[in-house]
Amino acid sequence: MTTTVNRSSSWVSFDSGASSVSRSHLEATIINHAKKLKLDLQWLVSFQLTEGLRRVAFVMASNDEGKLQQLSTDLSDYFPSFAGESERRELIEKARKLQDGRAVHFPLSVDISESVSAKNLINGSAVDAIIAIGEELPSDAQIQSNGYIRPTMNSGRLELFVERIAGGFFAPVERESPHECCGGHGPEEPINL
Amino acid sequence: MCDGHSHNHDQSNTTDVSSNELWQESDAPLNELTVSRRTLMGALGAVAGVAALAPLGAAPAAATTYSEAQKRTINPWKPARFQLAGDHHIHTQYSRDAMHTVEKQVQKGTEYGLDWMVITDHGGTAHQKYSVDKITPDIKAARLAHKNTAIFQGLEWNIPGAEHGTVILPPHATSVAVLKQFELLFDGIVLADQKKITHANGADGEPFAVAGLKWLADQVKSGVIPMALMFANHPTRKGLDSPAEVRGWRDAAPGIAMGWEGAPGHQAAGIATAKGGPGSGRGYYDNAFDEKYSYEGYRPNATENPLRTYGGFDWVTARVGGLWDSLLAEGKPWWITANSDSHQMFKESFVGGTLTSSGSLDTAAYNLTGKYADAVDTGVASKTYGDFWPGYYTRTIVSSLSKSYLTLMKAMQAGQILTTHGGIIDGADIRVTTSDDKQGVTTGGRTFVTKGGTVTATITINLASRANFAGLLPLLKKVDLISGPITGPAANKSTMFAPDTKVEKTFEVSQSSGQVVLTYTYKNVGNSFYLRYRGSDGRVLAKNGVDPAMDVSGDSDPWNDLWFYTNPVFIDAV
Repeated sequence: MTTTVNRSSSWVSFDSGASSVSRSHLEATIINHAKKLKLDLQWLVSFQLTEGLRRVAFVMASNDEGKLQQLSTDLSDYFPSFAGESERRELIEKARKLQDGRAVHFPLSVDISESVSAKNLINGSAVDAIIAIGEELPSDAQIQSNGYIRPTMNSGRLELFVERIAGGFFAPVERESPHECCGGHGPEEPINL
Repeated sequence: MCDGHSHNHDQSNTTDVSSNELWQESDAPLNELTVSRRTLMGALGAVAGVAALAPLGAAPAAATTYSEAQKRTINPWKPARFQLAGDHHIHTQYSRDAMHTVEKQVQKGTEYGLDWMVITDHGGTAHQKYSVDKITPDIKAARLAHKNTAIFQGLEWNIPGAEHGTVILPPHATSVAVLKQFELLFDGIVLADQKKITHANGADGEPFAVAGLKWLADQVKSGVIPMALMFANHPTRKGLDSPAEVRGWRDAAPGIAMGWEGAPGHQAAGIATAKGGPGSGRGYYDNAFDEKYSYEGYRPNATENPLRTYGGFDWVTARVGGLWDSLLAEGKPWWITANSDSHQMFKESFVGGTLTSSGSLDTAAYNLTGKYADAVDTGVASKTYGDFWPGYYTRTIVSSLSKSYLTLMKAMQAGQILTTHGGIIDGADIRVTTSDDKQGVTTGGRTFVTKGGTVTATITINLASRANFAGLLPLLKKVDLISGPITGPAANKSTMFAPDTKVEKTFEVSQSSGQVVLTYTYKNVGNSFYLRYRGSDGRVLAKNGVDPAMDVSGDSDPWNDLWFYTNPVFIDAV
């Protein structure tokens, strides 16, 4: 399903600057705002920027150019960006070519709410490859997805890193709710832009 | 070029002294303490008056030339020291995510065989404001009640821009004031609350970490406190501690920033839910790379994930030729420890004494007082707690000349530290001699050999003499001798691999009790190098049959995968 990537006609990007807002909080905020705008978000990709302060940037894609631009404007108003125009264009190119970045939203037509077979995930999503860390992924592997998959882009492929867990299953290395240390801060409500 | 052999010794050349000798609080006479107090007030005033990031004087000269090959020895080998088991990472009701009293933690640690403990509640605004003062009398009371145990009042510092770290100060007239001032000026969460940095983990905090360590060095140099140590905790749990940051801490404060937890605590966190555990990652290492705060070099790849434990040890320590080895290849000190990080214990029936209506710790109440009420026994075993009591599973064994707080700290500073899990061995003594140095040196030490000479490394292991606290008698199956060249200070501070460091020799151990002596000789030595050991019960190994395996998330029985790690010895070829 890799060709899906080029179907989105419109792409925008922003970075969170020196904001103290966490990656997951930013993601929730973007998704929440897209819903409010009734925007059909096809791709939402996060990036690491390391020039100056280490920080996170996002690239978004949709066929609805008007609403996507609205989302972009609202985000940029709230989070004064560090990245310049050329840096943003570069990020968009990387996402379009599946070179770098982590996909929060991506074309997906298979049910991942509990578990999904590796085969069905490859056939029913933009994911090109599933990589088990340190071992060969069995061809009949079941991925315990729990509704949460965040594949990463690398050299033109969308890859999902998984690891062996209890009961012979595999799970994506990125979990939705890893152990929160130090008393945590609980789930954060999306920011109202 | 080499030969290795193993043989048995009947007589012991190490002595695990279970002495009733009591702990000496301080080596300093009282009048010195009085002077120090005056100096402290001056120092605190001066620091408060300047911007926190202003240079705070030159770092101590010690160790700046450490990496240069020289004809000298450091840590000469000596027989019969105290082998003092301890833990420098313990939480109490003064942490916003923990619940037990100081007395309970100390009593349990003592019951499980510890000689020393550092109480390290999390830094934070409420902790700085309330908890430090409140815990001080509790710690004094515990010292009186447990005179055969050393109890340090420490801090789990939120290293700005990075993970946590243990700060250890000796009991001293000024220690509590220094801790409070350090936390106020340099704790990442305190700084974030004060809006001085964006976030405790934000990269804009990194200069504060270096400034904080230099500030501690200044307190030592000016005589305000006799000593201070810092060990980074759970270094790549979230991939926060970048190689450049670690080198920055080490080089900013030689003699103070001394190492990291080779093995994190929370070793029960990987126990399967079916067995009453939380079914998380071992050490609660179940996090993902985060673009916002993780260092780019710690992304997972097809062969390894730096954000997981391997045989219970952090990846930066467990990986042969990894970040730890790249630090050692510089020829500079960087030591490992292993701790419990105990907050809430596997299958225990206690819950926090101050809970919300939904049954979780009431952090809002904590924020107002810096303390929870004493934990309460519900009589029902928890199914979600992932820690062990201090001493129950993890030990940092320090080889110390005497039972004094300062001597113990000096031994830690010197790297005379062994780490064990699940009582895999009772203890070990390392002695490295050369054709030029017949006395030899021990871990953390440094010796020399004329080029072309021989180096003989000997590890004498006291095998486990009793069942561990899971009721199993551990059997040591193999010992790896790891060595690599000393290549000098890293030109690139982000260097994170030492590709020439290798397992030099694996010794199979068939003996099941008593003492094992393993000797290996490096012949015709041409270049400076370092060596270190690790050993395993051999039950869980990577596919190569040598290295530890990545711990299986949600299904890691810590008692079925035991390791010990020693600290290194450096050998200069001159």
